[in-house]
Amino acid sequence: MAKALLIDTSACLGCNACTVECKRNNNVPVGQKIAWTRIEEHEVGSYPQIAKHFVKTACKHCTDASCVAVCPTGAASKPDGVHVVINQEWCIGCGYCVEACPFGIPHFGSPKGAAQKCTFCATGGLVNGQTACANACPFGAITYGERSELVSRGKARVAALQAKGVSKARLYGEHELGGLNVLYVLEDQPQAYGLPEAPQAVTRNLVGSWPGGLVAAGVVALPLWWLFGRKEELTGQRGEPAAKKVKE
Amino acid sequence: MGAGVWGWPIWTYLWAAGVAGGGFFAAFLVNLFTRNSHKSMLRVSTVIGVPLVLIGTLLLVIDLGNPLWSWHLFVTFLPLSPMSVGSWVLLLWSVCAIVLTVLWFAEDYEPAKGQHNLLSSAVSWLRPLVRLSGVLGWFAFGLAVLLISYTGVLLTTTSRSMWATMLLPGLFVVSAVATGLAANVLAHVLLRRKIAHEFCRAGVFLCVLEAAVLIAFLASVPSAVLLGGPLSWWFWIGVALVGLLIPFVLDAFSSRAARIAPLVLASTTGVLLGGLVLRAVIVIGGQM
Repeated sequence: MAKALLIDTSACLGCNACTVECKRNNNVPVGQKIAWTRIEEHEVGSYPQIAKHFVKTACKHCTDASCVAVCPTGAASKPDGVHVVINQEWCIGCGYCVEACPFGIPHFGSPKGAAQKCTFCATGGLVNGQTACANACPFGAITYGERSELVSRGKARVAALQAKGVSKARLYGEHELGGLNVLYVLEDQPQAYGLPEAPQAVTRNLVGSWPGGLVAAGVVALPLWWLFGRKEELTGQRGEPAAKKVKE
Repeated sequence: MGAGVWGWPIWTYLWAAGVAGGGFFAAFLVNLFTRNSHKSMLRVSTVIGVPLVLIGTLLLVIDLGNPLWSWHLFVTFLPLSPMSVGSWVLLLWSVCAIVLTVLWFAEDYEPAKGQHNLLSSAVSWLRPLVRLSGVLGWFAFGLAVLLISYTGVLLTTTSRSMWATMLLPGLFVVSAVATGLAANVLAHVLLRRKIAHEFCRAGVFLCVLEAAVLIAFLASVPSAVLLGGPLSWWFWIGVALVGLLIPFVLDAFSSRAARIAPLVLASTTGVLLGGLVLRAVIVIGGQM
């Protein structure tokens, strides 16, 4: 059974306890601009109808993980079949996962080294039977558990929020990218939290882009044939074509 | 999306790989279509292409977070990863191009009478292998097609909205052939070799084709950052004017002119610079 996280943004106050505990538990370097989980703040609306959303931002451990698909060395993989880990001893630091991730999660520190992101506490181990962030959250905004249970729990929370008048409340991640293993209860549209409305796996672009290049190669060969090959056929000449015309 | 991590080493490499692969592609086809009467251009294309690819690859490796682990690319092959495919294509094309260059040298080398040294004995040893150069040339041609395609596919397979179109590999392929042919022709001019007017006409065709694909590309993606944003000066002057319009006019004029060398020198330089700026603004703009 797949373990997952449910982030209830309506309960998050942006205290960063998860950020700090993640660093401690996984021994994430300090002072190198690396954060496997962080709190993003998003201000939305215009005065007087304004809101500030806090959102725990980290790897979503997608079922259709673009980082795993494009990684040229296999350093980004799912050792347990569910959670994405970037092998720090194998990653060459090419940045492809950084450019491919629909959520902009993998990043480099300074110095650059290997790409960095959450390992679902595969690195430091679970704390009290749950991820360090879930264990640290003082507001119960991060729940660790079976994914199917968390989906039910998230839906119930969304229903409760909607009953209180939060009409835009929704569960994010149930179906996106084949199902995320980090689900979100949102009070607003995904964009208000810096999340894409309909994230896409980058491998879908492969279907058109390889043929796009190959067709272009065929098209660009045509003027060369027309200028050089056709003339050769018409004149039946051998040797330098249009030799008489050669100037300079 | 987060901040971009692909900077000048990447777009310089994309340009270098395009010039190398596109130059070989164009020279191979011209030589093929003219029944082996442009051998010198094919030879020049590898002499230009191999060093360019090696320098470009060096830039890529230096840009890695763990440069010493770059060999990890070559203990695995992952067909869904354009970078994995591209690494192998790059390696195999470079090996083929180096071997071809050596074989062609052996084919052309004429030792002075009675001269026996290490070089002449190496050449006589290599001579029987020269007949393999035909098959190897076709293999390198196939790899060159993949090489010029993959640079675009690499960018397309990301979450950057400006790059998410099949027109980008098309644009990079046309630009690669234009810049590659320009490099070959420029080398011929600098070596004071004769240039047929057909090459000027090819330049005209390629400018028109590239402009058409570029317009389609710009219309199909969010391209405001290039057309009117912070990169617009680079785009309009570097890509549109220096890379396309000026070479188009010069090539159109020189395809009928008597003395074409100065015009060709200017137009090919413009095409090469324009191709470099094109890679730069697309890589930088896509990450904005």
